[in-house]
Amino acid sequence: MQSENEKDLIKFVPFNSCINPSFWFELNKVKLDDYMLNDDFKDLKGFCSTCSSNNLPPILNFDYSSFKKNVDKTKIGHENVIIVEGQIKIFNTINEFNLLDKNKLIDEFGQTIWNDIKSTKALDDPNRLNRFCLIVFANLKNYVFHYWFAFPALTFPLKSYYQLRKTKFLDYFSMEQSELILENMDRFQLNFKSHQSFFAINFETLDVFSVREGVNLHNCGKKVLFGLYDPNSQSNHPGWPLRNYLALLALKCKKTEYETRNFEIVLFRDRYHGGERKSNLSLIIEVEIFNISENEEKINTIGWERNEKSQLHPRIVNMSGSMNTEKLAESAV
Amino acid sequence: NIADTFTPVLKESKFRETGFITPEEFVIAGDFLTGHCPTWQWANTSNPKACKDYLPPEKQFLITKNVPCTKRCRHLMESFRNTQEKVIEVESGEGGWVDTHFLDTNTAQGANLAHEIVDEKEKNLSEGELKNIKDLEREEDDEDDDEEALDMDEYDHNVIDDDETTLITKPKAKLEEAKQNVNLANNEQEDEIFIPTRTYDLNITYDNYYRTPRLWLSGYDENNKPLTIEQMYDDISEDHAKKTVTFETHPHIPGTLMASIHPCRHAEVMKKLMNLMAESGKELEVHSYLMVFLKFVQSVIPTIEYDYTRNITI
Repeated sequence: MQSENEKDLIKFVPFNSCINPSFWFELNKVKLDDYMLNDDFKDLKGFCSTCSSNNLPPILNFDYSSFKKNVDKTKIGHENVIIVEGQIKIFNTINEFNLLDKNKLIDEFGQTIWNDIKSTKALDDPNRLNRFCLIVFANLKNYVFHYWFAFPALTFPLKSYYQLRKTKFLDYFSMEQSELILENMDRFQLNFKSHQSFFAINFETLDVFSVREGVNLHNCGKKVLFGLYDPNSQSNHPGWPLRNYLALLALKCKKTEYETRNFEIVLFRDRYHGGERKSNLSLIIEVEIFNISENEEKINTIGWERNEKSQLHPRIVNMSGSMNTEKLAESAV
Repeated sequence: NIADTFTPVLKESKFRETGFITPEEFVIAGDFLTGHCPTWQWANTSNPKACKDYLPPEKQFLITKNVPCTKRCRHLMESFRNTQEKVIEVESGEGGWVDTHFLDTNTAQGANLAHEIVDEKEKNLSEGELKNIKDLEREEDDEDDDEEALDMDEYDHNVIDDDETTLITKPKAKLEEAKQNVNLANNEQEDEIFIPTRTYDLNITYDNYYRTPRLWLSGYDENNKPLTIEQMYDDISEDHAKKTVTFETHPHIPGTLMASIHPCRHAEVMKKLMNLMAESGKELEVHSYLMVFLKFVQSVIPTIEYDYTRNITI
């Protein structure tokens, strides 16, 4: 048990990128036919399941459809998928890839998120809080790809977040209440073209609202639980998307006279097993947040993905086994 | 695929007599599957030319991603052999396609039984066996390391990221050490530890030539790197590995070759299953076709933990 003075720093579980081989095939194609030598940032999409399996870390998926523009969920059928928008930069030489100032790049991405939070953009479209950046050097001769993902997250080094209490969703709410919430949640999602990562629950009525409405209610003195679809399954830690969400809440919710205040956050983990919906992994955590202001001086952005050896280095994938046309012809015989 | 293109589309429903389904029935069964197991979703095709006009454009095939696969097939077989020998019977020659512990059990609920045994088995795994499995996996890892000679001259990218609020996943070997230490320390569970696992993306397409669903798989290792064909054979039951699993181009997903369970015997197996159900007085409704299909596919890929309703008994 922790004493009252010793509070737990929240530890967030970062995203893991998972790239379907069809992504590299498509990348090859757009690089040769479309981008050519142009190495500007281009739009790219990642997909995060809202009902991933238990025992997996948060995963962001990429495949052939990541390059498509205007993915409309009603057309594509990704109903249980959160589309994460990000950008890709394909370098022409390995040198440029290596020499790029990675710290500067992620800071720029962080700055964009911070600007979205300060303006109304993030409140209007909270999915903007989830972002990624991908840099690639593609050796098209031998199908070797050097790549590195970043999932930019804002940190305020002097103002951390602490976890005070953790309750299971099913202990916090009664059976009837949780069923009602699930129903309201599904109805809420129907109002949007793309699946919303973040939402708010009115504690009294159990209605589900957008974050913007949640912030308004909260500022009118109503008790609001702020929630998110948590791609993580571990019982002790929230997934990465909570980070920028807390920054938004800390800035946009009305401050108290104290230095800190508490929020109750719903880590909603929508899981299915044997054709049944389970909420037993969902949690409600009470979080202590420092007040932040628009002219915060010390903001860092973190989020470069570690490689398989847990180092801050790019990853390398060799696709020659499945993309090399000669080899393909051989194995087709 | 030319045969697929020129085969006339099946119009008349006779899945109970033949095991074949029409594209309409595929859509009905697919809607039922996505409705009950939302980890499965409809997907449309990336390439308008590959769009099959006998299926609605937004319902070209079914997809589920990031399906965990924690054990290799041989581990499963080993555990079976150790305690439940009679369950594993050597395949009899006739109907060799059909998995024995799936169909040949006399009870009407053979499949369920097999599942229960697997579950029970998991619980009963003794420490020693667990250790064996880990040793095996560690050996695999050592092999993998040879491949990574590529990043020998690693450039120092100088990225600063010493944030104490990020939970860093440690490489697998260290993780297991850590896990063992946790076990020793007996329940002092500060941090729950993920054991990284292989995962699979599964697709179900409609095969117009064989007039049945067809399952496709693409796998990833513990670090989310695509598995090679050879590596994927580890997750396909021995009886089927080189016989019924082939590597072909996916009708909708461009580029690479993908592992697929060849549909040449699907209709036959489905028919058998329906007969079996009929004997125990049940009738397969067409919307449950894919549920039963997935249950039967489990005999080919027994360690891939995809979701389907187990309420359907055979």
